[in-house]
Order: sequence, then structure tokens, then C-alpha cells
Amino acid sequence: MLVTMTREPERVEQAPASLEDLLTAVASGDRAAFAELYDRTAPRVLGLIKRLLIDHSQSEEVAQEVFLEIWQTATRYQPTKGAAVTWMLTMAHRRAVDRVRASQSSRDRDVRIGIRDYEPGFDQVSEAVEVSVEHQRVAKALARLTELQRQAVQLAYYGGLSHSEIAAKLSIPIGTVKTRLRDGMIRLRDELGVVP
Amino acid sequence: MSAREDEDYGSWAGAYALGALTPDERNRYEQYLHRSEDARAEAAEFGDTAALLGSATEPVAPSPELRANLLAAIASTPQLPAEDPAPSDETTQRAREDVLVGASTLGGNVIEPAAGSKAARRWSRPVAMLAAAAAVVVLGVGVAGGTGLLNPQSEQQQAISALEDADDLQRVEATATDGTPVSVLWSEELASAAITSDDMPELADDLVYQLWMIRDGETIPAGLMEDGETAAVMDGELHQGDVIGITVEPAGGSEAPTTAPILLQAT
Repeated sequence: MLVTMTREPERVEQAPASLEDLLTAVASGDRAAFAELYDRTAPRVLGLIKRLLIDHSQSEEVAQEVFLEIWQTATRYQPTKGAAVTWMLTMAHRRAVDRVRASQSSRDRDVRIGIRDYEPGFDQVSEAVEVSVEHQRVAKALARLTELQRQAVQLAYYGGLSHSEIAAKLSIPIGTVKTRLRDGMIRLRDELGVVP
Repeated sequence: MSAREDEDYGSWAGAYALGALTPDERNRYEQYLHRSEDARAEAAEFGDTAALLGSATEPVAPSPELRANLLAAIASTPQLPAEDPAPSDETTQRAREDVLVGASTLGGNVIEPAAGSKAARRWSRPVAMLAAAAAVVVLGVGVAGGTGLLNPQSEQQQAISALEDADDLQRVEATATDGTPVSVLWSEELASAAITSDDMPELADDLVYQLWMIRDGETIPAGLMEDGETAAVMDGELHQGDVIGITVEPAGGSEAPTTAPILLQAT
């Protein structure tokens, strides 16, 4: 069992320490806390990365980068400024996007995007049977977007495309892409009940 | 920055949270965030929203090796100090922010391009330790700028041909931390080494790839690889057991590495 370092846990969770507490412990060099944090979040982190990269071994490489970065920079995480899972997933998404773009110049980039386009469910909300509560919530919220907003949001977030790539792909001006992404995020935020 | 430009930035909030900006745009947007409290609030909300998109993906079970590698790696990986580095570290910071994708304020929390951030976490333990040592080494006698510049293409080609013809040519197909394939060639007989890659990502104008030989705890500058170059012969004599490294440095190069290596290759 882990001894938490915070004086006043912000929220009392079940029995186990909160991810925020774990990250705080990791920041003080606690390797056991890191192992627990890893065990509790790795499938989600890897799931997100693999959604963008498709390839499993590349995804594991990026996940390894992300978790090492979490270890190195946990000292900079401030629980008062946001949830631990947001911090970790933002980092994971960014590294995955970096990796996708790094191969931009190589031919396999186009191939991969091509493959992804034909992957069933990529351009639509997956209604898969066995999904998490979170997944259902998000799927529901995504379904409330206009088709055009949803397409742009998914190409950006799950496809790792930049706004100019989206503009080229959909043959629309970049300004329109930006507007769609922002309008889409406003609607998603409201549907998901993200509070300021 | 005019109010009008800021108005334009207002429409970038979605693209920013969804990761659809280029690193340069992201930096500009983050500067705008410093100026606008409303934009910061929106960025935080959108950051949380994007993270929900992230947590809605199908979980994937990692291999047992990933866990084992990580637990081994953290045992020898230093953590960032809790506070920002000293001002003398400014160049380092700037270089990192420019290249290594910059700190983010998404969700209100800073995501640092930390020491070794984008760096290969593929390093084996001893190499990671070496790199950590390399990063803190300060050379007494620096070789910066001019002396490290590349030879003209033709000389370079000749040197590479000589390397390729060497009886004891060693060639390793390595991968930089961003996934770029890089070939490392060396010959102990010729005491020479070279890097070739057709796909090095383009850098900002004020940045350059710098090559290093790491020997007995010392990190020795071994020349630059400018944007657009596909090959670079390393300056200086390669000694047996040297580790070859590449970092991104401010234009002209540095006396000692200021960013984490994007590639390390033992010879």
C-alpha cells in the first residue's frame, strides 16, 4: 500500500490511491507508485496510441516514451491544475501524433492513411458491443455532432492529421476546418458535461 | 501582437486541443494563451474534452516486456527538478521548445519537452546512463560553429565511399527517437564514422543536427548535419568503443549537447 504524499487528498477514492496521488508519489521518485500507475493506466494509454499508429510494436515504443516522460516530468504535474489522466493522455496523444507526422515524408504515411480510411468504423462512431461506459458516453456525444464536425474531429484526433491535411483531404479551406474543429469541440464539451 | 491576429487565434482552440496544429503553430497559439485568460479557460476545457476522446478508445494490453523495460529504465533515469531550470539554461529551453515540440499548457498543466523527452526510450540502460552523463559534461575546450561544418558534398561522398570500401566496415540501421531511419557506418581501421539518412525531419532555421562522439565520459563534438543533408562524415578520429550520438542544437552547434540525443549508437 502506498503512503500518499499529499496533506489533504482532494477527493477520497475507493480503496486505492487516486491517480493524482500516485503521480505525486512518482514525482518524489517512488518506483512502486510508478509501477502501480503504469498497471492502472497502460492499457488506456496504449489503446489511444494504437488508435493512431495501428502498428502494435510502434505503439509500444511510443507508450514506452510516454511513460518514461511521465517518470521524468511528474515533478511538473500539479494536481490542482487538472486530472492526472488528462495530463497523461494529452502527452500520449501528442507523442503519437509526433510519430505519425515523423513518417510524413515516407511513403508508408499515405499507405497508412489509406488503410485507415478503409478500416471499418474509422469514420463513424464505433457502436461495438463490448465497450466501456466512457466509450458509450463519448460515442453518444460524438453522435450529437454534425456529420462534418464529427469527420473533422475524428480525422484530427484519431487520425493524427493536421488541419492543413484535413483541409486537403476534404478539399475545404483551412479556416473552415478550424471552425469545424472548434464548433465540434464546443458541442462535445457541452455534451460531455466538461465544466469550466 | 494585434487584437486582430488574436481574434484569428480564437478559432484555433479546437485544432489545438485535438493536436491538429503544427509544432510552430502550437507555439504561437501557446503564446496567445499567455495573453488571454478566456482562451486559457477554453483550452483547459477542450483539453479535458479531448482526453475523454482519448479514454474512449479500446484499451490494449501491453506486452510484459514493456513493463519490465520501463521499470528497468526508470531505475537509471533522472527526474526533472521540480522547478524550472536556471536562466543559463535558456538556449537549451529554447532549442527544446522549438524542436522538441514545446511545452504545453493543455488542461492547465505543463507538458514538458523534458530532458530526453522525445528521446528514445529505447535506450538500453547503460546507454541511457551514458547519455545522462553526456548531457552534463561540460567541455573545457569547446569546438563550436565553423570548425564543425560539413565538408563539401564531394569530399564527403569520397569519405563515405572510402568507409563503404573499408574491410572492417560496420553498418547499423538505427532508428532515431522520432522513428526516422538512420544508418550509422564506421570503420576502426580508418578511425572514421558517418551518418546517412534520407528522411531527417526538417528543422527550424536556427537549429541544426549535431553529431557527437562519446568517449570515456566525454562528449566530443563531431560536426553538424544541416537541413537537407542526407549524409555527414563525423569530424575527428573514431576510437574503439566510442558511442555515436546525434542531438538537435542551436544553429552553429554547441560545445556540449543541450538537448537529449535523438540517436545513440555504440560502436
